[in-house]
Amino acid sequence: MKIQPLAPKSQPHPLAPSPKIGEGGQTPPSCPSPNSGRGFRGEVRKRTPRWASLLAIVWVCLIAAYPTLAQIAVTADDVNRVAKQLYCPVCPNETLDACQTQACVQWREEIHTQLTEGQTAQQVIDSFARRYGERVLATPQDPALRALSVYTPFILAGIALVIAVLTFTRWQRANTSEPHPPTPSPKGETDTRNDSYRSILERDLRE
Amino acid sequence: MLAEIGIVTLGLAFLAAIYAIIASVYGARIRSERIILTGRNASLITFPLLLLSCTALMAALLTHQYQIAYVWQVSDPSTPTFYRFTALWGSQQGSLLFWCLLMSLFTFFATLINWRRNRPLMPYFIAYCMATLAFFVGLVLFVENPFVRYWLTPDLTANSSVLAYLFIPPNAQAPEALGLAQTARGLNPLLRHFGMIIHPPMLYLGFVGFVIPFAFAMSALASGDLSTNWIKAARRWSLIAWLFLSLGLLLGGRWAYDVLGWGGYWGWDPVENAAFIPWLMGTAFLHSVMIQEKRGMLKVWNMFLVIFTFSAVIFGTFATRSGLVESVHSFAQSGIGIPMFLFWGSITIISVALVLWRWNTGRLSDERGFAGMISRESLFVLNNVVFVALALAIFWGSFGAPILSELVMNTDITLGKSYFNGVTAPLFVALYILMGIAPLSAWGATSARRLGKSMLVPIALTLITLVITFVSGTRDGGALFGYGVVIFAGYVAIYETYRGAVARRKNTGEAFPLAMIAIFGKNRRRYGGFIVHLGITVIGIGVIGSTLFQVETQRTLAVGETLELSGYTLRFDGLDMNQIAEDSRVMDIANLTLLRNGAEIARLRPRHDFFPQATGMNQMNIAGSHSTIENDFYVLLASSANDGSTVTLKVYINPLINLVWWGGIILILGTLISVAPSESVRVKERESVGSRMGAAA
Repeated sequence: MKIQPLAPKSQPHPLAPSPKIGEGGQTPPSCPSPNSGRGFRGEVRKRTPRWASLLAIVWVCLIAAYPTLAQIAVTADDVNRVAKQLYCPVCPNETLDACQTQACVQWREEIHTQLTEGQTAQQVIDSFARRYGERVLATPQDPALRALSVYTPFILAGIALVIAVLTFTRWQRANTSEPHPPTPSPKGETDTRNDSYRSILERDLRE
Repeated sequence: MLAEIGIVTLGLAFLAAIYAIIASVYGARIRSERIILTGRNASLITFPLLLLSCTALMAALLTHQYQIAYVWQVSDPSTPTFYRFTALWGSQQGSLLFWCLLMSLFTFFATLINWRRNRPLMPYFIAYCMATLAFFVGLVLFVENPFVRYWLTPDLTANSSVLAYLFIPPNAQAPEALGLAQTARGLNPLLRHFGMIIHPPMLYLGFVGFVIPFAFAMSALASGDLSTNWIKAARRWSLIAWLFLSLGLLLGGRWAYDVLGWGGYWGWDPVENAAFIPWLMGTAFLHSVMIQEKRGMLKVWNMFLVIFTFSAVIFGTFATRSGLVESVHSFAQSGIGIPMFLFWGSITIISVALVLWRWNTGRLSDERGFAGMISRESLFVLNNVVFVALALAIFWGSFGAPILSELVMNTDITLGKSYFNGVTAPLFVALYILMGIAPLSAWGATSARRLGKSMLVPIALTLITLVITFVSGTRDGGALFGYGVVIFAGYVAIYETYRGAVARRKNTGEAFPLAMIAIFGKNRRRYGGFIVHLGITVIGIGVIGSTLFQVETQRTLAVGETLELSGYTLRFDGLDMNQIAEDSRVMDIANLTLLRNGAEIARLRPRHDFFPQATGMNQMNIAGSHSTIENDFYVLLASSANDGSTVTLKVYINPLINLVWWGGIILILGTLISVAPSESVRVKERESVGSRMGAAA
């Protein structure tokens, strides 16, 4: 979980007082305008700094409180969600969320720390992969390894299917080119394209 | 004395197996009945010899003979008698010996039962069984002997004086019994569970059971008797092996759920997969064998299936025990990798070569042609394609890709749940669809219209069920699709059984219940098969529910605090710390109260066990759970404060998970029905044996 800052630190707040007006945005009391209360610029300058300065204080407080807020937001469930996607680098084939060794407890604490610092789940996963290698991931990140791992079974299944289809085709071709007499089965069965369910069942029941 | 008995009987079993191979093959070649009989008797005697050897080891475990290294490794004085029995398969040497005993048991009964019925096949059958047995007994005898003892030699210092030797070294003495007892390691904590009494024997029975169909197939190739005799002989043994393998997998899942502490039952661990691959191949064989029996087709394919099922068994054993892959099962690892790899490679190559040789001679060609695309044969072939694709995908993910990437790219990778779920899900969907359609099709050919018509009732029932599921709150499209596919297969199994009983009632006028009993009696294989399909359906519903709708959370609670999850309230009442069990484990037990709508529904006591004397893995989290048909409320004690004031709990709600176990029971029941011979078959077999005996007389 990534918590975004409320506003970029480098940009001035759109309601921030002009630097010319003085510290805290307050207008110098020694410069009263002759047209006070008429909506002139000078008048605006007198009012804006008050609530703008309040906003500025709130903004600064939020920025200062940001790390504390982020720490509160990371729960054990957040940690487990990340740990579930990682394999323990020392225990055999156990995900990090389930492993009970001291090393894994420490790694979970590390995930907590990284999330607290504002890293995303993916950044945490990447950092573990960098340090301990592809084996800590449930699926490799390297594109070649990923393709090799994930697509190979589908290719194998496809090949098996093609072989099956070719076998069907060969059987069917053989069947049409060399018409078989209604070959009795080992038990003297006959073809049953049109017979009733009962006769099919009776045939099936005969072993 | 016990060690000597064990060693001698083991050695004699090895010699008997070697003699049985030579005598059977030689006797068959020169057609000498007398020599063949001596070979048979030698093979039969391996069972009592290995039984004696196992009994000696068991007696050593029960009587605390810590001088025997195996006893020292897997037990200690605090090990309860109950776990002393299970310690027989608690480590590499003992489990290999137990494996040999089970293999000899299977061979013993298969030989006695088939000796008259399949006489021409039997010498080669014995030779193949004994070759496999001799290899494993040889491993136990020469590489992983469980009867190795500790000895004190006088010329060594006290610190390094204990040596492990099979026989007594010169001038050696037995170490002091008390000292050995005090340092004994005790059983691996993961194995101290009720499920471990049954899980490994069932799995081993499943594994070694597939030796029998393999040996029948090879004996058919070697003897040249390529009729359906070997299929008939092998089919029931395959079903028995499949039954045990299914039981082993189910119990393994239950053990993982109870002991491994991650809230699930199947983690796609390489060793789980190593047992699942032969199950998939064996299931494909059990289906395709029907095509050869009924239509005389797929003879070569069946040979390959039986070979690769056996090959998968040996590879799985090799992978588990050699250290090729790491897993929670790695307690059984040792240095037997190279001999096992050589055995696996050579037996697979020899078997494939034998099939190809017979294929080239034209002796394995199909007896009839293919009648049409919409037929039970074609659907069974597709079913085989999916089973084999599943086996290949799982093999690839567990072994192929990790090994290849390490060898070629020097990168160690792990393929986890996301890979396996992603790759296998579409294949399982295809399998369930085929499981629904195939029983409705006919052998030979059927029309699309006819097939469609027969699907109307199951489809209608499926749609009604889906509407009810939707109305009751399940809105996830993927889940509804999954439920639909799975439930359709289940309805077909129920509907076909119902139609069979109705047809029988119309023919005979019997009452419906009697007609139902009668059809089961007449063709147990068919209707037992439907019950197996129903079991697979129930398992499928459980898997979808528990996978897609699992809810979990982790919280730290102080005494009296509660957590809320999916309508449940869990209250922490206190922690019982440092409780010492009979086997010296130290337990921290959390006392929890589970409430729903304000009312107490259960008290749960998840615990954390610590084994002070164990090396390696020395702790376990045993869950506390409240089970209903709706779900399992499953709690793990993740950690606790030193003063017991707070605990961190990991809570899972696993919807429909109990259907996985209930489905497993239905599956086993269906398989038991299928294994039992039908009335008509029993009569035919009696007649057949009687006529052969009459002819011989």
